[in-house]
Amino acid sequence: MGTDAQSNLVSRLLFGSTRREVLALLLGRPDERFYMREILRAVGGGSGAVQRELKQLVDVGLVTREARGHQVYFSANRNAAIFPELQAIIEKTAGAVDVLRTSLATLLSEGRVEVALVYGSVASGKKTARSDVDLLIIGDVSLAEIVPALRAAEARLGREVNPTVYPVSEFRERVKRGTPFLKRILAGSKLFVAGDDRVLGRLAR
Amino acid sequence: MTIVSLADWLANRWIVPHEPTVEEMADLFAVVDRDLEDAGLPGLSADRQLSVAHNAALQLATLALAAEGFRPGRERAHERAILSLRHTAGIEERTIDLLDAVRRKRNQINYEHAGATSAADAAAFQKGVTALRGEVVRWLAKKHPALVPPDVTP
Repeated sequence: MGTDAQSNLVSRLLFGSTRREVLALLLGRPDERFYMREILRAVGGGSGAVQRELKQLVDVGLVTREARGHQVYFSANRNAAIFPELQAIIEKTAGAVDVLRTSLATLLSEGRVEVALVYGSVASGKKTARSDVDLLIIGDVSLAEIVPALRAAEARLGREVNPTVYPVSEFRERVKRGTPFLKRILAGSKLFVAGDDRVLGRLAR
Repeated sequence: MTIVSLADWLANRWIVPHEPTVEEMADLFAVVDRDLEDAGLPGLSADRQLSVAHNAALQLATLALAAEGFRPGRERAHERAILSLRHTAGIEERTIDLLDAVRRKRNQINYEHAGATSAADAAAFQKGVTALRGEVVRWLAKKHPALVPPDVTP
């Protein structure tokens, strides 16, 4: 089983669909606070199920509930003991990677993408509220096809996604030429949206 | 707040009033044509080809906005010029999304790292901006015929 399918199954097994979506939203954008209607719109579940999940997450201290006037806001609790670990799990299984995979689903199902991976601050766990998502795509696709496919992902993540796209032959040539930008990506932290280290290694040879 | 027209943009101070002239249009079209020609020069890197072609697109957006009697305000001027193409020349969203993505990419390839553009994407983008020039000229001829410089054709 490939890493893509595995990651997805792991998050479904660990969290269940509604909790997974709520955590992906709140932990994916930990510097923002959301009111109930925003969460319902983003998560897309029934309001009873979402409210139950939020209550449980607040009760165990993973989510903060804040009442201001008539509005109630929810946000990730950065002070929770397992916040960094949980955020890393969500990022890998239901966060940016999952959102990007959904956005690119059509291109992926057509088999035109050999490797798609997130690099930079999101992949290394050093992202801030203003961090963009840096995405490298290798395959038989163009920037003009990728950009519209990523629009939904940008809206969902609340971050800009910066794609860099290469055909396989050009990627190989640039690696061979020692392009510093690619050397850094190959040596650094990566989150695979499609493909894996093995495929990337083959393409880089 | 959803911004739906240039009147909203003006109220929001994203753009400010501007008095266009045909001489200004001629100057901007000359920049566009120089950049489109330069983008096709043999031996240019894909990064540079993309960046130069994007400058042509930016000037097309600027002149279309000027023709409507506006220029971008101080903040996020390039971004707003590009996005205004929807409200000026009626350019489709898919094209504007690509122009905006390349605007962001241009910051990366000009200041952060080299080699992040494929040759195919650079060539396709240059072709797309050439088509955009045609669309803007046709729109200008229809909406503001007095502002079309004598030697500019689609």
